[in-house]
Parts: sequence; C-alpha cells; structure tokens
Amino acid sequence: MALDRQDAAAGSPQQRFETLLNTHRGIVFKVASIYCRDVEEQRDLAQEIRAQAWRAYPRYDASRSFSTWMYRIALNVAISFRRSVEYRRRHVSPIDSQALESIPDPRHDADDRLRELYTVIDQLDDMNRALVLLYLEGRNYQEIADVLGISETNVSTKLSRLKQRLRDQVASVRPGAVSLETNDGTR
Amino acid sequence: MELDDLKVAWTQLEQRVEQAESIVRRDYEERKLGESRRALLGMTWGQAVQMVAWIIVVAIVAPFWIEHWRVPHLLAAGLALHLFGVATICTSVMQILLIGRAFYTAPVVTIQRRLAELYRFRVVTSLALGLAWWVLWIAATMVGAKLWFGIDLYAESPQWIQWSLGAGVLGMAASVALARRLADRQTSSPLLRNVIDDLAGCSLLRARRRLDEIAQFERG
Repeated sequence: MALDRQDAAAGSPQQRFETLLNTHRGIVFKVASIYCRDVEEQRDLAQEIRAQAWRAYPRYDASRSFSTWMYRIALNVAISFRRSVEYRRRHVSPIDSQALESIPDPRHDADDRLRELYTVIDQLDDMNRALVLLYLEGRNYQEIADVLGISETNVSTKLSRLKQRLRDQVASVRPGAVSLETNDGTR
Repeated sequence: MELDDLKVAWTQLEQRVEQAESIVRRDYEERKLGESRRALLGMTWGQAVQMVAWIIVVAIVAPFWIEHWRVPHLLAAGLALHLFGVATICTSVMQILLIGRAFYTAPVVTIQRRLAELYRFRVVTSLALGLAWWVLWIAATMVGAKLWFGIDLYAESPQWIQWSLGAGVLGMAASVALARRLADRQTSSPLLRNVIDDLAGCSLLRARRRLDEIAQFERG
C-alpha cells in the first residue's frame, strides 16, 4: 500500500499508471491465464484488462490499495470477456487447423501439478474461479471479500466447501489419499 | 490433493506468466492507451445517433396524430409510431448511461449483477422493438403517405392494410419459429447468432442463468 502511494505520487498520470501497473503486472496475466486457455485469447484479454484499467484510472483513489482495485477490474473484465459475443463467435466459427495446432494446451502439460490445477479450474464457474484465484494468490479473507463484494463468512464457507469438494474428488479416484486440513480463516 | 497443493502449481504458473507478460507489454505500448477510450466513445456515439433520429421522428409524428385525432386509423398509426419512438429513445438513453457507468472498479458481484441486468434489458427491449417492426412498417408507411403525399392508404385500400397486418403477425410468429429451429446450428456471423438467440429465447434464458448464478454465489 505504501509503495502504491509512492508510485501514484510521481510523474504524469500515464507514467504513474504505468509504474503502478508494472509493480502489479502479474495480476493481469494470472487472471488472463485462469479465464482463457489459448495464447491469443490470453493476449487479447490482457490488453482489454490494461485498457479498462487505464480508462478507469482517473477515478482511482490513491489512498486505497491498487492491487484490490486492479483485481476488481481484471476479474470483471475477464468474466465479461468470456461471456462476450466475440468470445462465443470464436467458439462457433470454423478454426484454422494449423493455428489450432500451434496453441499449447495446458491440460497436456508435462507437469502433473499444473495439469491438476487446470483440471480443478476448468470445473469451476466464473465466480468461483475468481475466488480460487484470489486464494491461490495468497489474499486474506478480508481482501477476497472486498474484491468480490461478499462477506468474509461467505468467503470462508465457500473455500471450505471447495476444499471438501477437492477431497471428495481425490477420494473417489484414490481412496486413502485424503489429507485433512484445518480452515481457521488464515492463509 | 488439497486446495493448498494447488498453490505450488500456481507458483509454477507465475514463472510462465512472466514470459508471456513481456510479449503483451510490447503489443500494448505499440497500440497506445487512447485507442480504448475512442472505441467506447464510438459505442456511445452509435446510441446517440439512434436517439437523435428517433427524437426527429417523434417531433414529426406528434403534430401528425394531434392533427388527425378524429380519424381513428391515422390516430392509431401516428400513436403507434410515437410510442415506439419514445421507447427507443428511452432504451438508447439507458444504454448510454449504462455504458458511461461501465467502469469495472466496483466489486465483482456488483458489476456482474449490473451487467447481467443490462444484458437482460437489452435482450427484452431488442426483442420487443425488433419484432414490432413486422407491423410497425405499415403504420410508418401510412403516416408517411398521408404526411408527404396526402394519400390516406387505409381509405384507399383497407384490405391492403388488413392483409399487411395479418402478414405481419404471421411474420412475427414465423421468425420466432424459424429462430427456434436454427437455435442449435452454428453460425459464422455474430450478428445473426445474436438475432437467432434473442428470437429463440436463448439469450433471455442465458440472462436468467447469469443472474441466478450471481444470486447463488452471494447467498453462500
């Protein structure tokens, strides 16, 4: 937060925005990679997030956390992007087979952990995807509640349910492989 | 597997994200930030042009039906066109206001609920205003003929008006039926896809699902 204020204090509005965005550049791409699978779509979504953030920047209150502000924009844009006509058009139009082959599919990733991560994410709806992303990013329940617009109790309940669902999934495939974990509302 | 186990995978993802980020950053710098503002201005401009056009139509039609209020068919045609114009102006104003407020800085649930409501509003209004043209063109022709050529089409040929109205009602039903038949087929045109989805009721169903999904997420 102190860094945000420092960053937001110097230079022209565009320079200040660029500096803040650079400090928090990971947010844009993590959100894009969670909501879109192919590289081209991720790039388009990342561009759209940056453009919308710049559009909203004159209203940014420098006394508040830039990361919370940025997460709200990135998640809102990503959910809208997935639901947009443009997105549907791509999925109903014939796709060039050569272009298709050039797109790396993360579900075929050599790394088991990444494959599991994408498998879990693929099963979530847009809102729960946002919740899991913020959790994986290490945000506390208060920050998650602030970004999503739900209560901390709700965040806690939802994460507990998600954890239970994951355990059930694993238990159904690998009986005995379940490790229980406490959920005290902290990371 | 635990949700926390996924954090390890998340860290690996972060390293890949760094590489991709640098590529997009170059793209972004080349395109310049001002372009996005111009694109949104274009959307508002389109709605504004539609609104001004219908204000002109209403300004022409209002004196027409006031002047002919004693002639029922001319009064009905003028009023129908007037009411349609007012409805179109209202939807344009609402969309301009909603586009203007479309900043994504509010919490995710708030924005997504607002966008889902806007989507439902657009679906319902475009369906109602679009289908109305199957019969509204007759009212527009009647008003135009009387206003600019002094011809009362209904007085000249009431059968033509009645047949056209009947054909319009059939056309409405046929377009809905056709859209339902085509609802499952793929189309390459996004505009055609939208029209089919709206007419077949798929868009309205989608809007309801979105609102239900958000309500369920809020409830916990």
